[in-house]
Amino acid sequence: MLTINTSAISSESFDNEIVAIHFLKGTYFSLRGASMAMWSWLQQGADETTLAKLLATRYQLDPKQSMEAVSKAIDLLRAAELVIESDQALPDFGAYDLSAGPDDYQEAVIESFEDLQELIAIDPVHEVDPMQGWPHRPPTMTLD
Amino acid sequence: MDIDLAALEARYDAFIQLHLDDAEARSQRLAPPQHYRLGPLRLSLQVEGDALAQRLGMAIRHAADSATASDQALTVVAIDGSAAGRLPPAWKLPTYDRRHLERLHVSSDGQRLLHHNPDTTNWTILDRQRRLALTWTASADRLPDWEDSFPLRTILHWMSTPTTAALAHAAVVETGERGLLLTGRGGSGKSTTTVAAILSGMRTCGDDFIMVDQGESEATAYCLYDTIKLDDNALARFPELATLVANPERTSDQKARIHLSDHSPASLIRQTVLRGIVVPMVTQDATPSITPLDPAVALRALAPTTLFLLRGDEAPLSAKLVQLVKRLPTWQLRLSQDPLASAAFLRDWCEQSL
Repeated sequence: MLTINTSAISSESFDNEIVAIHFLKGTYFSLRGASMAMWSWLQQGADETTLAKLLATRYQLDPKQSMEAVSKAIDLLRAAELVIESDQALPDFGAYDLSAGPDDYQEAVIESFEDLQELIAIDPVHEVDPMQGWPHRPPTMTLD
Repeated sequence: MDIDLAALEARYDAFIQLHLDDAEARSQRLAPPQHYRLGPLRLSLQVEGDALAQRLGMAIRHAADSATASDQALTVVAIDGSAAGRLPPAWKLPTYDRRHLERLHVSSDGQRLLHHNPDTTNWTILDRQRRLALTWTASADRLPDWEDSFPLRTILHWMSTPTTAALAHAAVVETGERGLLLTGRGGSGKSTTTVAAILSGMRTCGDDFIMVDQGESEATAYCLYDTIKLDDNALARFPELATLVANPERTSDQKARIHLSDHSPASLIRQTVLRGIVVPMVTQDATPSITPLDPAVALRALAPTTLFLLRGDEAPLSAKLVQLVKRLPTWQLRLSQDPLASAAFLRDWCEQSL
């Protein structure tokens, strides 16, 4: 199942846009159109198949068109680390809000902004010895 | 291998307690604290090292409070390691959380925070329950020039988290008790507009970081720092200000800093009620204009730049900024090429329309 990466993301929904901020990476996003509905469902937890079914139901889309829209959006959201995998169980289909997103179908738009990334001074993620801390690497393990 | 997270966190707690105990003991031998009133926060600051005291105190002189310490005040002990003969240690704490890669630690109950800057070997530590904070740097000389513009901002940010107040990376201009919050990313014209607004008779709560308290029926902006910062292009538009710059020896990547307490104290106000949020935009328009702006766009102008400059407690800070853009009207100010004309337009619009 996929869910919002809430430990690193703050987001807020407005009438025509969702603003999401990844405060660890220094990136932020404007989600519009059908991606607003997808975001709402991802907040409850959903997999790609469920999202496609929800999108098709919400906007009376062809299943193939719906799956393509979801796959494209999820690829972007995953790459941006806005969503992460979760081992939680999927909610019942009836628990999702089928009024989420714009009333009429609009193509999912996920606009990213990276102009402020320089403000984040973070080291490249690397392995660190859990007891000695940065910058000590853990002991190298070899297979004889 | 199972990792004992409780044991790892205990190492952080022990480190924090050791150094806060030490700071508390050292504070007994220092000169009496200087008290400050920064919005709803009260600070009692004791500094070891004259150079550090100068650098931390310059931008907050306007907030000095002659009253004695309040029970609610946060005690901040600041140590210049070179002056104290006690250099801060390097980071040798365990890394078991992604935030530790940023040298940021927040205790699991949220009460103790720690941040380390390896460039300056600076430690910032806060224990909210003890109302005690430490900022410990290797040498005041090693602090970057821009630190003089917004000293202690991390501690102020952390202290504001449990309150209804929050820091915001924004300017505030005011006329006739009507305050406007100006926000936007670098190059949006925020600081230039603030300077031009002052020259046009408006007043300000600061142009970089301000504090907003939404605990009352209205949103109130408070002045934290008395500084105006301009890059060389912006400074060239106001040649009369060149002699007022506090850091004439700055390098090309640093902004000129002007302390309003020194040169225009009447233009610096402690607080004002906010009537709206304005996002300036540099244009080639012949005349300035102002139009309503979608609050989502205003949030994109305000929240990312604030969150990325303040580490830790991002979720509650973000929630307060969302609350602000949803409660106040939001506008876009299209600046003309003449900053004084734009500022005069903003002043007149503020007086006549709000």
